[in-house]
Amino acid sequence: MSAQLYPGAVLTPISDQAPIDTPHRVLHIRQSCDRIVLIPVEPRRRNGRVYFTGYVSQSLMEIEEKLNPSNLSVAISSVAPRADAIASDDELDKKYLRREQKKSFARREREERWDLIKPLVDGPDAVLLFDPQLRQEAVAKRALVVATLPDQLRRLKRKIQDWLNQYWAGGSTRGALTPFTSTCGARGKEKQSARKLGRRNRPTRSGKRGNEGFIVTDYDKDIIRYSWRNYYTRGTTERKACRLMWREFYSTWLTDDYGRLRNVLLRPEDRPTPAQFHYWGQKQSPDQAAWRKQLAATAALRIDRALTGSANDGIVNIGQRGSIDSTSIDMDLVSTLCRLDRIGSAYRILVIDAMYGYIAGFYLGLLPPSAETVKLAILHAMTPKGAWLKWLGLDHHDIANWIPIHFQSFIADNTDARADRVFVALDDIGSGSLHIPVARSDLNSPVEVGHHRLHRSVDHNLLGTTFGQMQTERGDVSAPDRARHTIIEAIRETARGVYAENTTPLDIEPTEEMREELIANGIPITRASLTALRIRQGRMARSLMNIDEARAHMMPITRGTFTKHGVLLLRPDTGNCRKFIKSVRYLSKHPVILNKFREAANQRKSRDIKMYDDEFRYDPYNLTEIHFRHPHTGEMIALSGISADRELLGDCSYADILLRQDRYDLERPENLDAQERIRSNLELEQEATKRKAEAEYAAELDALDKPPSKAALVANKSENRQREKNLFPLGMPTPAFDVTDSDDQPDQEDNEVGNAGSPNPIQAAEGPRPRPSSPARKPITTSKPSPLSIFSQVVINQLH
Amino acid sequence: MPVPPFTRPCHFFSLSEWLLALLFAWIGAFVREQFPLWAMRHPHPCYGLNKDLDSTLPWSPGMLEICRGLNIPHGTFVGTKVLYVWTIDLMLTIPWSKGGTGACMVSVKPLESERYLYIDPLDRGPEKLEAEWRYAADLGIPYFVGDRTLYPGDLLGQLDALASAARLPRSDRRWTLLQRFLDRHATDLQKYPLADWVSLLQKDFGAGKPDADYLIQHCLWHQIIDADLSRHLNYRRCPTPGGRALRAAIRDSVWRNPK
Repeated sequence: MSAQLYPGAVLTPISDQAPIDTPHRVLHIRQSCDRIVLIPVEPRRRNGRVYFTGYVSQSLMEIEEKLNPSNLSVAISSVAPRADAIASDDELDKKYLRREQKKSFARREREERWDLIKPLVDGPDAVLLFDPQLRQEAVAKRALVVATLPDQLRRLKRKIQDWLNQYWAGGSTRGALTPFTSTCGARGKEKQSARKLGRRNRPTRSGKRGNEGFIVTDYDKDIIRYSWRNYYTRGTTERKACRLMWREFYSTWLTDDYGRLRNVLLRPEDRPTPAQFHYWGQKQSPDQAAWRKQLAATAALRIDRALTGSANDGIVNIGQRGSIDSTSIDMDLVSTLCRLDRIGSAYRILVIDAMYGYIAGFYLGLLPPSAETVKLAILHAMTPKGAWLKWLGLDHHDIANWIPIHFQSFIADNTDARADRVFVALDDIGSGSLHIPVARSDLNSPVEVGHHRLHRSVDHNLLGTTFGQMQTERGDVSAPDRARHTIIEAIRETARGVYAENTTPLDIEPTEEMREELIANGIPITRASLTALRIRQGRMARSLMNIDEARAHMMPITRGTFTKHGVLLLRPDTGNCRKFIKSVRYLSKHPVILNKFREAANQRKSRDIKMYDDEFRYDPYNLTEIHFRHPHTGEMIALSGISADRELLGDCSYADILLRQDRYDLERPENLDAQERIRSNLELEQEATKRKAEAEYAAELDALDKPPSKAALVANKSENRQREKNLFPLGMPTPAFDVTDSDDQPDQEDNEVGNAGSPNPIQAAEGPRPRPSSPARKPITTSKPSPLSIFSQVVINQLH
Repeated sequence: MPVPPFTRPCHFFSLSEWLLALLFAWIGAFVREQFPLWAMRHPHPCYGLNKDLDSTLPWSPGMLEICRGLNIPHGTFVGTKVLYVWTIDLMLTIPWSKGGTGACMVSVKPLESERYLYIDPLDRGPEKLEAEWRYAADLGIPYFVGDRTLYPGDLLGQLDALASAARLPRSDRRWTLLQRFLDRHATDLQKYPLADWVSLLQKDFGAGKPDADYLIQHCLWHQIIDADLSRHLNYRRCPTPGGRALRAAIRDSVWRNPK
């Protein structure tokens, strides 16, 4: 026996030189006689009858020759058995049993046929049947045993022979004898009706002829299908579409008496009925089902599909696909400057790894989704988060559960992420993007589910939540009224929520690998632990990019200027007018930066004011640090922020700082005005003092007969000075110490203008008083010797 | 995302196109996406690759002529009279063909969608397929319509994951490392788990973890390690061979040199 050929194998002709023209099954091989017995596998069909032809004998050597690869014209293949052939008895009954039967026809027939031929094929002598002579004798003998009447013999022999052929062709199994019931009645084929089906209509029942009804031909079916596809669309009804079909295909144009063309429909018997339109229209394909036609195309695509796959099909590595999308948070916020000021909601962009749904990063802020915010979210996902957590006050989080991921590609919708600036940035970091069709958020399910999870676990548990509803019920307190949290608090709580989602044990049946690698080591199965496991195994799509390089591509840019005190950022919202953000300045000890500060200190005034301007990269929600990219080396140099307000950098965003500055700008004129008023009052008082001194000087001059010369006035200056010193014990006048004097009662003199003391605001407002007449010259006298203060006594004693 | 071995960004209209492009890049073909099929007479897609064979390459009559032959409109840009430029989803250049001027056209269509299962006789989609087939027939280029469901999902997913490690130019510092690694261990790659090779690269060759992962992924992409990518890769076990045979089989199905 050939090594390739065996009883049961199916030989298939593959060229014209094959000795067989249809697939044949090998029944018996007799090498000693160079004989192989084959039987055609496929039945013949004629006049509605299905039958198998008998076996043939061929030369074994010839067949083996045809199997030779160098001269291949026959191939060994296999044939799939019929479904009914491998069905069990119960399965046959399930398929074919009718209401009044106990055993289905197919099962009964199979059992009868098997009972008929079983003694022939089920035994050691079965192989003798492959000799034609012996087969005939065996068949005749069996027929004699079974026949009850002589007339049955011939028919029985025919039957036995047919069943034997069917049995051998089907693979010598009992199931091969199953009749071809499944093809009875042209199953699966459309029936061509010659008469109108269903109940007769009224005219026909009452004897009228010619009104039997419309018989749908193949041509009519094409018309109906075309009309159903093209006329029955969203927004129209079936009946309207049917009438349009009648007008287009089952009508005629007539000219009326006035010469006008009129469209006249054919008689009802000559056109399809609405029922026929409905039946044949939606039968053409599942896509054409009547209910589906009224849905918008995108809605139909979204709901009418079998969910055979999942979002992480084909995902084998961490970072292979990141799911990104934006939404508004379900809560209202208040301003960091004043909690009474409502600022509405904020936007959140999530970046989620498709493999285990690990939330790698997010953006939460007041800016609507745009290329800038998308880049920030991606950057957040890529960067280590130690400093960020510390800034938020969440440094108790295990940093190992905040895994930075550099994604190979992102899947997003066609809004914020589908922008040239995003494409350029992604290209720079070597990532790609995929975009789902319009209104098909179901294809980006990881992030949509992520939004839902955070809405439920974070937003809905905080003050000012909207619970995802557009309007509140009557009587409920609205979300803006309940709002209490600032944007920074929202970020903090989102970070907490993300950490919780990533570290919550998953309710899944662990694989053996999870048991060995995680559970056995006491590590719970969480999104974070699974992600970390895959990364340890090397299943990471991209290694992390250098953080500086990522920042260079992803961070937004603002302009600032180098000064001797540090870098001051320029406000971006003042156009060509240069206004600084003065509340914070940025310093660094990097030699390049120090050099720039030095240059700015020494040469700024002699150069154009824009000479020291440059671009800086910043995180709008973390202004503790900005970055300067060295133009030649590309190095990203960090500058740390310093502010007199210690809470400014921790609690305020970029937008908040601008708001604070605006508020201060509003208050500043008032402050400046108050300064001017105080200075003005001071000068007013000084003028009074000057007038008084001038008056007394003039009075002393007047008392002299002759005004002294200038030289006489300045002579004896040293003696005058010594005399003056002798007047005052400490070189300076001290107040007269009178026990009867009480500080509680103001001196009369203190109330007069020109005296030291607090200015009288009423008098100041009224303007300066008229100069009083020069008072009589008062001799400078020391105060009445009074008990000196202890301090004065001590000082004097020491001096002496 | 670039399709190996190129670095230019590519643009695809569906995930199927991207995955199939990766598959064909993996077997060694050069992929050009959205290749134009001009309306006027124009040369063979591989014209210019081999100057000695340029004269033997047929020219296409142009889609305008083909559409006339099919009695279908060519089409213009919406609102204009400018002839629309037909494109084929993927045009493969087959470097292993004789002379290197073999090509293959692939039209990526969702074969399981209603549109292609129950064809509307008036649908433009099947018309376009027929026109593309005629174009390919005129140039003697094999043409087939398919989508990612024709290939094992695991294979496409793994190729998607490994694609970023496909390129390793000589100027890359890891290239030398790879050569040293292969000089020492090329014959043993099948005998040990992939995770062991990653560890060995780190310990014996001083590679960092990301570099070690990259090099192993590079070896998997190029089948330096014969691993059947149509099955899930378990890094803790020895790779199941079969990747090279699979690649050869797909290559043959796309283009087989005549004997």
